[in-house]
Amino acid sequence: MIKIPLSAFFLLPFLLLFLSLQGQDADRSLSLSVGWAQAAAREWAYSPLGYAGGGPSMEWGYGVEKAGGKTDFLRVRAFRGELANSFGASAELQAYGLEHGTLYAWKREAAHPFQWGWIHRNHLQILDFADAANYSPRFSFHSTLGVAGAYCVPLGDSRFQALVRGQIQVLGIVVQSGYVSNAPIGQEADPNAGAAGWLQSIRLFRPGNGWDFSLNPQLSCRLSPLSACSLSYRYDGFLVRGLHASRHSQGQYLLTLTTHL
Amino acid sequence: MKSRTLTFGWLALFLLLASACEKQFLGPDPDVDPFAVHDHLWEDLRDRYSFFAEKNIHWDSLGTVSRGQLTAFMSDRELFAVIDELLDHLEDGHVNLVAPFDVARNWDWFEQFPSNYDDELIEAEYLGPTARHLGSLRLQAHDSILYVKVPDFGSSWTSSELDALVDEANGQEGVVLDLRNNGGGSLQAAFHLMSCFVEEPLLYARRRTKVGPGSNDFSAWEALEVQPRSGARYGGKVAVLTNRRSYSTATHFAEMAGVAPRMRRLGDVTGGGGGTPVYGELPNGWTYRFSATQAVALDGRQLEAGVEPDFLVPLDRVAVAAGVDNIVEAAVAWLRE
Repeated sequence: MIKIPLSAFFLLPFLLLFLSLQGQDADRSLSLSVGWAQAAAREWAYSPLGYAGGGPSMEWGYGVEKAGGKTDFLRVRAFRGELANSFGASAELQAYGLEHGTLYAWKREAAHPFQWGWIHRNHLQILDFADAANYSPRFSFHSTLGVAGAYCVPLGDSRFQALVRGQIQVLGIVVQSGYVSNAPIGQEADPNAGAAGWLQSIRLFRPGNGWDFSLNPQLSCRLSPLSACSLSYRYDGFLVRGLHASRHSQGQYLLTLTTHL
Repeated sequence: MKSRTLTFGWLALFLLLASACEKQFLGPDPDVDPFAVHDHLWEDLRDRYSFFAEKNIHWDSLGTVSRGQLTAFMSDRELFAVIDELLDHLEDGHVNLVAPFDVARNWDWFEQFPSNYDDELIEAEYLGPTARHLGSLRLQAHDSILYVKVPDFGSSWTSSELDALVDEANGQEGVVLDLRNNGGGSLQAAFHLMSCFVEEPLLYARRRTKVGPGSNDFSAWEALEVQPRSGARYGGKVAVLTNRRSYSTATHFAEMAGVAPRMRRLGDVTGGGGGTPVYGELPNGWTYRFSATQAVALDGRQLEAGVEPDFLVPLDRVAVAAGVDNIVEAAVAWLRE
């Protein structure tokens, strides 16, 4: 069976973006966010009960602003938290995301506060129930295209600015744990299929059978001409309907340091 | 003025989002009334339990009878008793309901049979204070026969431990693997142990998994095959002892032993437990498990029904009183043949 390391999944889009931008006249920035996330999840394959809790969260971002108000971005994030249901049973949630896309200034006015564009988002969540001795953890992964927007305005003193980012995914693919086991659906259906089992596990992600959206208000303060810090709250919602529905949301409180390269 | 409005607007959005709306997206937890709890369990087993046809169980009618015993204001213990009775019809040791005050189970697969095992006798006469420990394994050599107690397959053994086991066995005329009262555990652990005693890949059974709610919604059959380990292996005769409490993974191991060359099984039929249990949780927080796979021997026998020994040998209580386990002694006699 062909095994693709997870690191390739994370690094490939970054390398493609980085190489495509080489030699262009652009303002590059790098950011690192750390914080705490409140998370909630419901995995119908195991339980009808919701699990909620919190854990540390971090995000790494790379942005390139180009002439004409065009912005390319790449963000990688990770979360790991302990969740519990209302009866005290526990589960561990891990969530990893990689997204990249491009935003364009509204009406091609570089100074316009509103930007819109596209986003490609990959999201992997792994939920491990403490009381399930077999077939745990269960996972769900989707890779989707969607629309993204950002609204950025200065606040009073020009050192401060308010930014709101948002996105919603509209079309893509999803791979989930199976009906009973935690193997992907295709491999569960035919354990002898090898790599083909992964291909047979792919389902369509579209509005109605899946949701993936976020909203991210942010308050930034410029510390120097080349650096800024910001405080933000990021809300993410995920829903994948399949043989069993999987629902998960996160609210992250993040402190971000950004430096221009 | 515009800047102030934006500031307040942004802060309002921040506070609105930050006011713990993660749980709002999930929606409320389901009702915990007896009907909701009962129906959730009944429906999940209807869709994912794997032995209805093999056991000739009419789940629909059982559910109707069971549901008819519910009342809206019954206590948790009364509800537990109703569901316990429903689950009892499955006659499956891998089916349990776990509540804070009790565990529902069906242990007919061993409680209605003689144990054919005396732990005190084994401790006193066959292991003793000088027995070696290799992980959960306990070893003692007697007159060129290595007796190995395999209490469970809860966790596997390190490569070094298996090397030590083979090293110990290689100086002996034969090996007795005592799986009596072994309630099972990890199938991988059983594979690791068996890999010490086979020279060629050992195909012993096939397995399939429920993949949909239909009664025939099963996966393709998957071959269950033990690979010989790359390290040292034992090439002599091995006797495997089983009783009715040899369950689940121990049943799998007994089936492996039936196919493996130079191995014989002695004692009683194993308890069964050929299915792999899947776990779930009910709206009131109780947890449950049930079989969601099937495993069949190469000749099509369901391992759920248990595996018969090559030599059916009941434990002789007179011999026990004299300090002898006649099942072990029968194994030793076969090893010396």
